Amino acid sequence: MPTVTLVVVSDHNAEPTTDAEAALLRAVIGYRIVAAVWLAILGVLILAERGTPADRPWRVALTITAVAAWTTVASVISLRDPSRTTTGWFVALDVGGAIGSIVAADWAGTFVFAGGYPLAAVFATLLSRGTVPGMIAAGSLSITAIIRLGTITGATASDTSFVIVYLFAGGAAAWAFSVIRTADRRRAEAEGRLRTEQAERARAEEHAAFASRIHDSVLQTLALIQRDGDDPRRVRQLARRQERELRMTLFGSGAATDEGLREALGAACAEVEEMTGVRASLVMVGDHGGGLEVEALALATREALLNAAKHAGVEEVAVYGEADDEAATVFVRDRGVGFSPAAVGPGRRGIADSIVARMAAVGGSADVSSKPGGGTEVRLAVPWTPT
Amino acid sequence: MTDDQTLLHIFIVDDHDLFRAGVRGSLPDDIVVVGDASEVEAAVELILERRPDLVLLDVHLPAGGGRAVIEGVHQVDPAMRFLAISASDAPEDVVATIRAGARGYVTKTISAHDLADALRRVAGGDAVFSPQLAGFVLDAFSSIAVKDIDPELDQLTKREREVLQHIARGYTYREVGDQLFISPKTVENHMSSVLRKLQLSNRHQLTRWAHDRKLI
Repeated sequence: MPTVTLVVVSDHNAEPTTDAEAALLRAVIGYRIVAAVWLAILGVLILAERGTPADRPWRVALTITAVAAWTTVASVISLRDPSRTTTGWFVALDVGGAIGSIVAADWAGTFVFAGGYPLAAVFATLLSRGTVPGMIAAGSLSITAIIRLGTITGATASDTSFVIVYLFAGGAAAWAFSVIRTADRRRAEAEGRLRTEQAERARAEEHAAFASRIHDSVLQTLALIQRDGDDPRRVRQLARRQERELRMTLFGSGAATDEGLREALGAACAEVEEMTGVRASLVMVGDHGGGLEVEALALATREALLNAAKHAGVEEVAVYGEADDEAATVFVRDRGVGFSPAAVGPGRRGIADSIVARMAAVGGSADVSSKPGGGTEVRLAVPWTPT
Repeated sequence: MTDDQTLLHIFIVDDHDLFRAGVRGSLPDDIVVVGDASEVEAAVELILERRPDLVLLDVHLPAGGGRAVIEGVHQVDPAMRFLAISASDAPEDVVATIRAGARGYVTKTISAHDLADALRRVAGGDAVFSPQLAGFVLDAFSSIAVKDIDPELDQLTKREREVLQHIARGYTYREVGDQLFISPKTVENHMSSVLRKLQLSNRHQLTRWAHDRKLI
């Protein structure tokens, strides 16, 4: 029996981390299965006594069984945990089995029926361990073929050709693998560079946009405050406007909806603060989309706020809005001087026109409750028109 | 009674130096700042060392926020009281701080007088709801689907809702009492009950509320 010493060298640790590696792994598994079938067909032809019959046919059957078993085991391992195909014992069993499939012919007393099966071990080793170990595996097969030539009688031309087939096929596969891997690595590197560049560009753009927004708002406001520093009312006003703008920048909803009640009331509060310097603080529960009702509520709220800012003599007015699917209610309340609603003369049309009539026009209502010295509260309510 | 017993000892946790200095300067003489901190770890350590009557706590702090301070202190001293404060924060962060154990929430635009009042009330065991917090709480509870309601905890009573709405409209506890013909003490009881429900109610539902808000 010929003996071959197998040297396992690792110069490459192949984890199928990329698509290309995974594709190569599948191709090698596919080849292994096809080659095992190929060996089985040649073996069965011998057993069927087509061509040269075997001296010991059951050894042919045993070889087919062993190859089928190893092909199954190796394929399952490759698919489940490719890292295990790089281990020494896997490579040793694989290449040892390949050598065995060649010399099985002499053991069974027939011609070589291994077909392309031994190359499956060469391809697998090339893939899992790299070029040098793969070529050592190919060399081991060629050496086996050479030793056979020396030990068997009546060697045929095909027995001789095995010597070069394994080395040549192994070399061709090694070259092909390395071409595919190099191309894949270059592509991955290019993609990585592109991603990094894009991320950097996005960051730079974001920073530029943020810087310009800060400049347009915060820095401008600070400049104005330095100029008008001796007017406390003006400073407060500037600070509040800046606060609102920053709040919108930082917490503003990014979703593109039509203007809802929350947004409309916020704008009304902002406008009145700007005009009068009186703080209008909004608390909102729920929200509801636009329409005539929202417009009417926002304008009526604005009027109520302006009234409070002008007449109540307060620094702050509270606005509370709540909206659900059926209706919305807004309260505008101050703790100011108040008035007696019965005593309001017909000359003051503000409340009647701007607030009551506006709300009535959309099917809503407006109530004012106030007493001298007890502050004022305006309650605005409207049901949503069913759509 | 010694002088010391009439004083209120507070501790300030805020990462803005200007704000801490501003609060120190604006508080009346009977409220003494016994220490301050700008970060979570130092805050927990110093609060446990100095044992103030209550802590004024910024909602928004690096590394865990105000919540982390409350949780850290309450592990050792579950009775320590916290009043949360912030310039402007997302509702879910404020509600999370209250759920962690703060007894109230006010915004930084609050006047010095109102802040002193809020501090005294929290130190006295009351729940302090600013209009903003009342709005956040109404929003959070109104979002809980009826089928998910735990009748004991997940629902506000009609009266509690009414009280919250008045506070959101800018009424003080006393004014709410006048409006609803109940005593300020009853208003306070309702708010303590709301606070308890907020802290004990179905975690899952309020988490979903917070999550849904982020999607808006």
